Amino acid sequence: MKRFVKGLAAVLCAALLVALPVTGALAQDANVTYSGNAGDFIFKPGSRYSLTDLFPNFKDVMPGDSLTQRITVKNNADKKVKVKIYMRSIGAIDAESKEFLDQLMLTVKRADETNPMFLAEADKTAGLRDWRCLGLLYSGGTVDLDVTLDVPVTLDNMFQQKIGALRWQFKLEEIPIDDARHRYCSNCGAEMYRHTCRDANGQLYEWWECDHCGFATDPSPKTGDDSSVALWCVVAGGCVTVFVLLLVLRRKKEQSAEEGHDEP
Amino acid sequence: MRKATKSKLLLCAVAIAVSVVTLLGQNTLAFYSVSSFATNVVTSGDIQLSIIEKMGDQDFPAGGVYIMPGSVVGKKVMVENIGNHPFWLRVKLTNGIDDETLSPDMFELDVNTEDWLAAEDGFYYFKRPVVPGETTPRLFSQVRITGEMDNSYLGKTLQLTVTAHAVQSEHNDAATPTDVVGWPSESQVAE
Repeated sequence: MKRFVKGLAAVLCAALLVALPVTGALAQDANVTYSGNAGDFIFKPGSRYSLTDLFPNFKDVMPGDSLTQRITVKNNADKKVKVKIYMRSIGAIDAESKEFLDQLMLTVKRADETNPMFLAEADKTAGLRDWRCLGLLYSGGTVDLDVTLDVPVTLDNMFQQKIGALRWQFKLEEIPIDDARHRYCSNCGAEMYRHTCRDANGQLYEWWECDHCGFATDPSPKTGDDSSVALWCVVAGGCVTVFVLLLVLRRKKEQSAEEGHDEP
Repeated sequence: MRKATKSKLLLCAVAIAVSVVTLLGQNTLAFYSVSSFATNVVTSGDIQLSIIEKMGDQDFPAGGVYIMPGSVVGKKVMVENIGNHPFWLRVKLTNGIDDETLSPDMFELDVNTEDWLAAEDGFYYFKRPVVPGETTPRLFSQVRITGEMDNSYLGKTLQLTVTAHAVQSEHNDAATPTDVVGWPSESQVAE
């Protein structure tokens, strides 16, 4: 029995070692995630240099290296909101970082675009000096950034074992969604558009399509209406307010008329 | 127009205006605005080597060894890559007594020509890049003092100085190690 247990433990340990993911040498993606409810952004993976480090692939770089870092920005907020996400560069955090980063070329672009948002020495703010909108994301929606670092082959020996820190700032605005008029794609989080058509019997059918990924709902007979409840509530509220005010005015007028009759 | 009618009209206008403003304002007000900073770090690597000098199984004496003409001094020289990046390697030997550098003709080395290439510039080049964690095969394992040394050297201490140069091999391919670019100058030495 003891031997069996020992053998089983050995097999399990071996299986665990094989199953453990190999890290360190492999490229690693980074993430910027908004969880909603005015919580902070969550930056991963971080590093021993900075908890918010988005450059896991830019460590131990050597002259001649050209390295790429994929950063995924994601909206994990509630489905009742969509968010507009912006970013900008603050630049190198100190003089030593600036001296080192000034030797390296950095390129930042959206993965689905050709033109870069930023192409300059890594310590500069350049094209990211001002806020740049990364996109409008519904719940679950993402936008990918590709960051490329080019290290010149002529980099001087004095830049061995150097550390350069670069600060970026992210901000977002939450925008409420009117569910009756908007839908978002459950596949990619992009906004969907409504389509309608009538069959031979005059029955109106509607379905929703996502232009971003092509996902579409099945056509179904149109029921109910699309009118905005909020609009009619506001109008009704306004009418009630006016009615009440007119009533009050009329009463005051009647009272003052009565007082006028009572006076000799 | 009578005053009462004017007031009623004004009230209606205000009520409608408030309704419209509220209606339009719905879709432009954001719930929350959030901002955070990310500090992203780039680090550079380097190349590091360690020269290993052995006399048998012991470290070679730092002060050198006493010699006689015809002596054979057992000295094994190897180089270890103690960094994270591979490098090309070359080694130079300087033999001296006190402050006097001796002619190479006074010594015979059993150079390992299988792994090392003797060049005209006096360096021995390791024939391939040394990967991280690797220790090279010996450059030589003994030094024989030839008869060129006269009696004036009796009782003197011989120093065999090993100088090693390394240059990164990543993005630095070459057909032969002597064609590699970026060797440090003589003043940038590792002893």
